[in-house]
Amino acid sequence: MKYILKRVIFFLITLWAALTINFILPRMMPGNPAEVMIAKFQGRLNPQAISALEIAFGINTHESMLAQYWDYLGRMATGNFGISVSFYPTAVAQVLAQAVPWTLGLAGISTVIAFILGTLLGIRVSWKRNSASSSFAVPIAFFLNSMPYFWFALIVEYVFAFVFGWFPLGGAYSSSSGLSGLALVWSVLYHAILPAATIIITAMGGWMLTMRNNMISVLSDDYITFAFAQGLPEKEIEMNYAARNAILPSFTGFAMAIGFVISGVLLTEIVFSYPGVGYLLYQAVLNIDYPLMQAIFLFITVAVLVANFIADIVYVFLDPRARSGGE
Amino acid sequence: MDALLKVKDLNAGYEFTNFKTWAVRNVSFELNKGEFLGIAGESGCGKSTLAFGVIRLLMPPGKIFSGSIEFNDIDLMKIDDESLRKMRWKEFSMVFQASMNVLNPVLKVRTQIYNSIKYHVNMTESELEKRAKELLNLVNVSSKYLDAYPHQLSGGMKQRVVIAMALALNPKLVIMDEPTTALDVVVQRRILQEIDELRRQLGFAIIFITHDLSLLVEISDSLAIMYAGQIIEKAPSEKLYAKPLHPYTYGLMHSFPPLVGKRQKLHGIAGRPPDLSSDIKGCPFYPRCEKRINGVCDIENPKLVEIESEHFVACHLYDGK
Amino acid sequence: MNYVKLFFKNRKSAIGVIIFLSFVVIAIFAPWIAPYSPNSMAFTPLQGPSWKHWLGTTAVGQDILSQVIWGTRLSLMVGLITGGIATAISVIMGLTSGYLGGITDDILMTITNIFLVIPGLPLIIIISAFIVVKGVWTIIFVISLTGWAWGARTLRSQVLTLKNRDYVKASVVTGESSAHIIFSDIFPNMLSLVVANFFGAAVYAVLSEAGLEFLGLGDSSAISWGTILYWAQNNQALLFGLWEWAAVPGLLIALLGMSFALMNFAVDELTNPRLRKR
Ligand SMILES: Nc1ncnc2c1ncn2[C@@H]1O[C@H](COP(=O)(O)OP(=O)(O)O)[C@@H](O)[C@H]1O
Ligand code: SF4
Ligand SMILES: [Mg+2]
Repeated sequence: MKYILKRVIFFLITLWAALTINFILPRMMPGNPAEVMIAKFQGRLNPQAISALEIAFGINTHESMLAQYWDYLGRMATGNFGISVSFYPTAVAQVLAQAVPWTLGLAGISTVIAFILGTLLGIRVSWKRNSASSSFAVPIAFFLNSMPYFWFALIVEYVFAFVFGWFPLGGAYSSSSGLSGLALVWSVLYHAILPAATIIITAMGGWMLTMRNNMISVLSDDYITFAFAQGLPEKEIEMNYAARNAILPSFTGFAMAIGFVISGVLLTEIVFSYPGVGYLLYQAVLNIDYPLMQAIFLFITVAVLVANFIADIVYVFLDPRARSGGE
Repeated sequence: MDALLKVKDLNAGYEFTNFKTWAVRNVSFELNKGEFLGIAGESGCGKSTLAFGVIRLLMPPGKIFSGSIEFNDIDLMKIDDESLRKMRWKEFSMVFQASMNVLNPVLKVRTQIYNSIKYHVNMTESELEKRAKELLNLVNVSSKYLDAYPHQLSGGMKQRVVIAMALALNPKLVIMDEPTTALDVVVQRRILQEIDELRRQLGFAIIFITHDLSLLVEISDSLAIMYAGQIIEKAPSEKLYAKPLHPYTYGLMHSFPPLVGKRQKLHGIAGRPPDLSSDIKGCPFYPRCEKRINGVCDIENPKLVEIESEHFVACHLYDGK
Repeated sequence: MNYVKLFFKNRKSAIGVIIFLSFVVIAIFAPWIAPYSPNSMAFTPLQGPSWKHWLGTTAVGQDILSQVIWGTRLSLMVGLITGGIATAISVIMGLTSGYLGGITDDILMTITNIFLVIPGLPLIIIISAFIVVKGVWTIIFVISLTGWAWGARTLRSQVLTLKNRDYVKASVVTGESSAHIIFSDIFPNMLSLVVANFFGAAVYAVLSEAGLEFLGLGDSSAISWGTILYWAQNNQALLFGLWEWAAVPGLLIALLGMSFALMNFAVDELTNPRLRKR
């Protein structure tokens, strides 16, 4: 319980840090980026919107920094992220809400699949360390892991959507109107296959290598030899003695791994014009829509924190030492 | 005789790409049913390698280079993997030197005891539980620890749990590789007596490995002394204690304080054992031996020969050269 | 340092070193190797590969092969410099936090963990989006700022281990200064970890730089593999069937990243006996 409490506190501190970054960045950067943005959209925004933006970015204000900060935290706490300038006059929250389900669906499912597949492969490859398939799989994983994700997405899109024409070039569902029920579900799945495959393949390599290293480390532990001495079946030793222990560091290193995966997801969405958060971030960047960008950054941070929190909880379930107080 | 284990010309060690450690060198011995054999020698002389080798448990880079091992007339070197797996624990079990770390940190004691049983014999859940309690009882651990995880047990308790596990299937042979080194001398002695008691009750044979010869006084039936990967002396215990023949055995016996009586200053053996990854010419003890015969001992490695009945020794002082 | 010898004997690091050195050679001799000036717009735009232009030409008539060759310089430089800066931050944070312990350790480690958890690319994107004047150095700065946390954490735990070694304790007892202990007793013994970290950070830098450039958040007038990809994507190279334009720079990024990753892994393998090939 103490462990969980510690994680909750860390969760809150990090959230606060992300909020503060959002507050400081526009105020600190040279060249008044926020003013540049307002000037750019001047003609299209009504005076009310402009003054809201000025308050949000601390322009033309006599309030002290601290007062601004306090107001800002208040707005964030009430979910008031302001108005998107590129989707004017829609509120940022609303724009974001439309993109979130797509990303959660695509990224959530493919990340879980990638984690499971990568981990299983890592177990296999380390257990059968000298087999031909292992000596094949490891260099491939290295290569996959060092590829720029968006580039791999481009190639996948080019080969399977453009050259072979097996899959759509982009989007999340067929734009032909009147799709409903099963046809719509199918269309959504069909559009998700390529981006999902891209994420799975690129993310898998990293998890495979991590698990492989952990396994090799664990395999020289005494309890493995002892398990062999007991004449336990190989499968039992592989899974319940070796893998069961080797997977623990995967959870403690989850924070970094998930960061890489998120980068992959964002870029993959952009390549496939998949209408999720990543693609939205890209549009916000192209249109210099700071309020939208900041909200997206915040959203992604919270999503990652939640994912980490889940990983922490699973970890507590998997490691009895974490359960009874210790680290 | 009633030989349970016959080891002949066993060579084993660790193989790396650029070098090889030859940790067990031409070792032969026999062990009878129900016998208590002690193996003693300084740290690093190959005792553990021998123990693992004898039950074919050497993990890479460890490897048996050559030799034969017969257990109950079954050739362990030729047996297939699955039959070997089935023999393990049921026929022979082992308590490791690193007993503190041999329990799987993420499984309950209960699960680990069950596992060591259920893959060899068919038992219902309640039979398993009964057996597990019986075993813990045997080693004086309260059965409430069945649902504990290893990190919740003290070092001594883990040790006892492992010993209990080793007895789970009534094996014919239990190998104990310095099972008590982490404990203090008095406790070590007591556990050893308990183990011996169990042996008399249950009738299994024991190979007990230690670097402390004094520990085995009055307990083991016979003793083998190892040096640089070889057995250099082997005899029934009384004979060996009464009359150690090999200069190394003599030195070893006088490098530990007597268990009873006044503690005298030790005069251990000067120097260090040879590096087992290099070739050794002549008697491996030659550089440290006070009785060495120049021109003989540095040329030829003495063979293990029976000097008196059941008393084997490998030393040129006794082979008439 | 017998590790140095082993490093070059290890197959992984050998492959990594060979790839890396090839890129270094290309970068140094770019002016001689490249058939044309990378900026010259003298050619027919959007051509496919030919004997004159092995990789074809861009939308404004530049020779893509020459751009790829010259781009090696910037991509390599960003990887190395960023890797270096990020590693330096890791070392400072890890050493201070591990050596001083106590409340300093708590604070520095909380900061490190925050940087570790806040997703790197989105952070890089929003920082860059707020930077009005973009250039190579802003990229280097931003990526270094986000890429040091993991290293700081691993280095710190190494410091904690080393701190308990006898010779360090001996130095403490004999009253050596903290600086002396850190720089002559602790730091030399974690060099291999620092090196491994450097390679890890370099992989991160190479990939992040490519991602940033690709999003148009870099300096799109500079020539690096990332900007070539950016222009390829912006001109829909793939849809025009000019796949070499996008495929080659991406492949090179992957190779460079892989060479760093291989060297990183090899150092790990050499210093962690458990990972060593049996
Ligand atoms: N896992 C291993 N890898 C490499 N060498 C080993 C390993 N285990 C033991 N050795 C070497 O084999 C020799 C004998 O070791 P060991 O059998 O453990 O001796 P003992 O049990 O008598 O202390 C030593 O030189 C030791 O360095
Ligand atoms: S053979 Fe020679 S050197 Fe070896 S123990 Fe006997 S006397 Fe000593
Ligand atoms: Mg040993």
